[in-house]
Amino acid sequence: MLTAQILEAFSQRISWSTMRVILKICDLPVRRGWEQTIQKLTDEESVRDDISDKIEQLKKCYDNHLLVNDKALKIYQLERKNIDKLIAAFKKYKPENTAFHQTYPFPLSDDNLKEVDFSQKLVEIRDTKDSLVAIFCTKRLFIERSQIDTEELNEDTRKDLAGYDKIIGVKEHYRQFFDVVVLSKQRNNIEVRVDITGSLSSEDKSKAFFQTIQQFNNLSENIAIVKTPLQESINFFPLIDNLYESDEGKVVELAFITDEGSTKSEKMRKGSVDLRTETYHYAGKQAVEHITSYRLAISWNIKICQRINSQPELLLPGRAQILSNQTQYLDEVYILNCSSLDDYEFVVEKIFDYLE
Amino acid sequence: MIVISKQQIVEQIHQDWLQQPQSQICIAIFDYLICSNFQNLSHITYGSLRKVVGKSYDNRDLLTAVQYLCGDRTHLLEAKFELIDNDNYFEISDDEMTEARETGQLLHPETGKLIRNFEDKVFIYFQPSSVVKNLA
Repeated sequence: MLTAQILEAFSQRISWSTMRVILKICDLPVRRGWEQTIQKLTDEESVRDDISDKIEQLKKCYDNHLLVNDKALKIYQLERKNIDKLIAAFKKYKPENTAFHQTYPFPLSDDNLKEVDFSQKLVEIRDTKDSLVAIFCTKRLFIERSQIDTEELNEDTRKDLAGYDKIIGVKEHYRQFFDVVVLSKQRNNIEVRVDITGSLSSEDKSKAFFQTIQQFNNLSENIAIVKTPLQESINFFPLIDNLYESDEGKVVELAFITDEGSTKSEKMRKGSVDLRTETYHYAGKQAVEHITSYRLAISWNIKICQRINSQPELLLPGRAQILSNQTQYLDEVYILNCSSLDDYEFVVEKIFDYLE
Repeated sequence: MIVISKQQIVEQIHQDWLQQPQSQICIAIFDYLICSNFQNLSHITYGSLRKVVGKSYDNRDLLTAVQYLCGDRTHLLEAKFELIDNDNYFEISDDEMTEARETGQLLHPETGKLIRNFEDKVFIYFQPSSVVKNLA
């Protein structure tokens, strides 16, 4: 039963390919797709005693996963003494019981979620070797757009819609999001990680950051008497050129302008070559004095075991307008496709390595 | 039109900025302008100028240097304006920009409608000026 619950919760949050990596990490069997795998694991759970440790590990992966996938990230630098003061105060603080605790760390059912208001709730404070983590849950409206298959409509409706090439359905539903604030015990910074699972719109993401930062600042003032610790976040913009010009990972997306007035956006298919060395891109770059990049995505291939690789990705989501500003400032990045805490930490390490 | 030489420009820059970082910034930008084909430099942004001068100068020095290069002392750069609206780009003439600043209102060049908070949507870019194009 627990296995089904874990996998159902995972299925709302990650791709099947990332799930396969996690199952391999836990040394659990993988079948074709979610349904068959849930069935297989549920069957094994009831007959095999030796599988419980692996399922416990899967549950731990899920708990960790809430901290790392998929997140938009802002980083704030603080003095060590202030971070230590916050850690000491938050460690002693016990979050109030909320509706989310009925099922936490698993999400509420759709029916139960409907009954919850939109305010953000602190649900857990997790103390680990490297950090202290505050986890918040929030109900947000999620808008899904998908193409309607007209073959499924009745004859009359099909006739009415005959003049349209595509019919797009807009479905609004509520989802539970897990936003996280991480106070590092090693580095002098605090990370705000906003849950962007399922492509949150830019506006909703900004609201989520605002909500989480405000919530954390209020809590800090109330329980640690540290006023507004999250103020100005670090500028990630220099990472775009620093990573592009390095031999780090594989560049999978790049947007840039040239001084001749063009704006270019290039994206590689999964599994293709590094964009830096792709023939068309390479030749174009040789033809101009320089390109000025404003958006870049880079991925890494981390071998987990034979034929299974994890591919965490870092996206620096700049817009062309940044280049027209007097100062180029990018205050957030996205860390995607992480299958473990290690993947996430690997990407964060790269951020700090290449910001220097 | 007065035609001046590269050497005169370099001397002017050194004379105006002496040992200050702006001296090297201006020379780096000037070199970039004269070593490139003008046709290929129709849309130079601040971000691009940052690449030209490298990372070792702070933003304030770069800004004052760019303002200087747009000014009467050398007038190597021509400042231009564009409206960026939903990833679409519209050129705004100097007259339109002057009027917008005087009246606080800018009309969208295509729709003719008033643009709210136009200062947030209008961006500056640069081109080599006629001085650079006519260097001896």
